[in-house]
Amino acid sequence: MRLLGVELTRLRSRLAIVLLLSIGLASTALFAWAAFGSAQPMTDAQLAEAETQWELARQDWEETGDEQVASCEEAEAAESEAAGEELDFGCDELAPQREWFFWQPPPFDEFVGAALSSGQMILCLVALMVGVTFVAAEFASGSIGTWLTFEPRRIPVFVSKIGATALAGLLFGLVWTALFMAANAAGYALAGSEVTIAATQVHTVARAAVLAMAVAVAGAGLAFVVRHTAAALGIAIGYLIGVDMILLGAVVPGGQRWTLVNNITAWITGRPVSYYEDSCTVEAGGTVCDWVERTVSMSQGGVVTLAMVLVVTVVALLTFRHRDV
Amino acid sequence: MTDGDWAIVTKDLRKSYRGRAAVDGLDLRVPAHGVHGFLGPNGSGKTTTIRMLLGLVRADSGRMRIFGTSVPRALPEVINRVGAIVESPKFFPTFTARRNLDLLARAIGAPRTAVEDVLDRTGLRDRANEPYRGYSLGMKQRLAIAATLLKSPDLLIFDEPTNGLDPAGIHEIRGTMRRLADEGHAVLVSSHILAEVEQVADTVSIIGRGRLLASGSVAEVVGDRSGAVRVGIADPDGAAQVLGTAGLVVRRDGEALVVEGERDPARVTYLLAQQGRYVNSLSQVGAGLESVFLELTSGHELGAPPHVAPEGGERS
Ligand SMILES: Nc1ncnc2c1ncn2[C@@H]1O[C@H](COP(=O)(O)OP(=O)(O)OP(=O)(O)O)[C@@H](O)[C@H]1O
Ligand SMILES: [Mg+2]
Repeated sequence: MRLLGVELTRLRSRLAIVLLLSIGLASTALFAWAAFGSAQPMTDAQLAEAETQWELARQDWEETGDEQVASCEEAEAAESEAAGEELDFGCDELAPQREWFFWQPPPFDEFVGAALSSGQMILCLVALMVGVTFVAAEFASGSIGTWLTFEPRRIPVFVSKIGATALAGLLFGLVWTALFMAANAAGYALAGSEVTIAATQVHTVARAAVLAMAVAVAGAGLAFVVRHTAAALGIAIGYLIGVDMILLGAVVPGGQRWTLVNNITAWITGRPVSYYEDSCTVEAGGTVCDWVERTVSMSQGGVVTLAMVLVVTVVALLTFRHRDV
Repeated sequence: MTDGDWAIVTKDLRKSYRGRAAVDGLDLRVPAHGVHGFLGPNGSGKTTTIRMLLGLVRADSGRMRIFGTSVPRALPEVINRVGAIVESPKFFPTFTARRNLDLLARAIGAPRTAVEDVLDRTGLRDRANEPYRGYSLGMKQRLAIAATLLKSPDLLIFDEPTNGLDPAGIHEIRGTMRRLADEGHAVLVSSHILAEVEQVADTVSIIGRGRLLASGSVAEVVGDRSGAVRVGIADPDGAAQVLGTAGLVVRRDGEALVVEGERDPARVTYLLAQQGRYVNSLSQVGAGLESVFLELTSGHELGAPPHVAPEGGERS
């Protein structure tokens, strides 16, 4: 407990870390701007223009609608016969609808979810860098050696540093996501669109905080293993590109299910993330391939992310416990 | 004496890096009082030994005790009695001296006043709020000493503490070590510079290639080997053979010969004259720690071939 307190003081005293966290928090303001842009209702000129277009389309439909439906059904029947099965060309949905011409900002809840799946990059990056630099800088300066001559028990030293990192990550995640929500709400409100606060958003804040904590801990763990800020960040980015994007994303069949990006996104947005998979079956006439939609659920996202962080942490502990300093 | 009467005891301590022995069966004994010089050429394993004692590096084999406590197993029990500076002071560069000390003090549960106290004792108080990064080498060294004093330790370990310091700084560190020893602490000071230790050490251990070559009080270590005689002669190789046959320990030193452990120059001239060889010059070599050190560690420098004789230098 005493060690945890000391590590928290150490963390707070680190200018680089305070700066990183501040920049991370300040960056949420940018999202207000994006939300403001997306929440803009249509201007009077746009409304008038839309009205004209809608009117034109309706008139056109009245004149040629029957013809269009007929030729559509004809094509549908011909193709169905050729393929030997019933195809649906959606011929009964050809009539123009009013809402096609009048755009509406998405509901706040939906918009924030989508914004978060891109904003989480900043959250994760800052959390990772804080974790990495907190530990790596001590190895770089050699002050970890001095520290160990005062507290030679490696496991408590490790646990206190990881614990302080986790607390910092959690707090940062909470504040960051709350500010992020507030910034988006402000953007929406300024644009004159409706802001609805729902329980799901509170849950999102909690999940984002847990995510930031996990990422910060993983960063600290990496730094315990490689002991160098640039190297640790390099490994993290290398993993994202080499394993996540290339190997799991494109090479290994079904690998997308296990990418960090998909799992983290599912976890933080609280919605299933879908990806498409080639599913081929060999039939009499040859191989038939289909795109099948698959999803990564929120709970899977949480479990996978947690598992990865655990692995990194355990490796870090084993390394630090045994290695020469 | 039991192990507990010594500040440090190591037995058959070993550590190698990638198959190369850095410490090779070292038996070290550091008394619980006074300044003990830990001497050896560059790369002889001094720092490695100190790191192993402090639990920073794992030994491959061997036993170590600090004040009778087995380390690194029970190091946490004894660590508060040991203050150490390994190689160079290492603190967090962007923190002030006070912040650095404060964190260390909290690790061992020392009171806040302890920080101010050691800052006073090392004369750093006026500049304690400056970041460590901006400190001069001398100030860094003082801060490192301040840190060791936070524990009020019974044993202080200084690894090459005067590296890079100016004469005034060296004098100051030496004074500090002497004072700490006089206050009843045990001080282990490692160095590859003899003069630095000779003036302040009560006892010494000399190591080479990770092994103990000699140890004891300065007087003992020097006394054992006093009375070398340096001989200038026309045919040194032939003369060396004559003296060697007579049972003397001889080594070549350039064009001259050095006869080790021989206190009587007359015996040397007599032996040679009997064979019709006459000396050109004859001098007694000063038996300071310096010459003992050079003699013992010759062949123990980095890259020198392996050495078998544990003590006494090469026999010819
Ligand atoms: N981390 C390491 N990795 C590989 N070899 C090492 C390591 N640390 C020490 N060594 C080797 O071990 C040997 C002993 O080194 P050590 O630093 O203990 O010597 P030293 O007596 O302190 O020398 P100096 O007077 O130069 O400080 C050297 O050959 C050195 O190269
Ligand atoms: Mg050294």
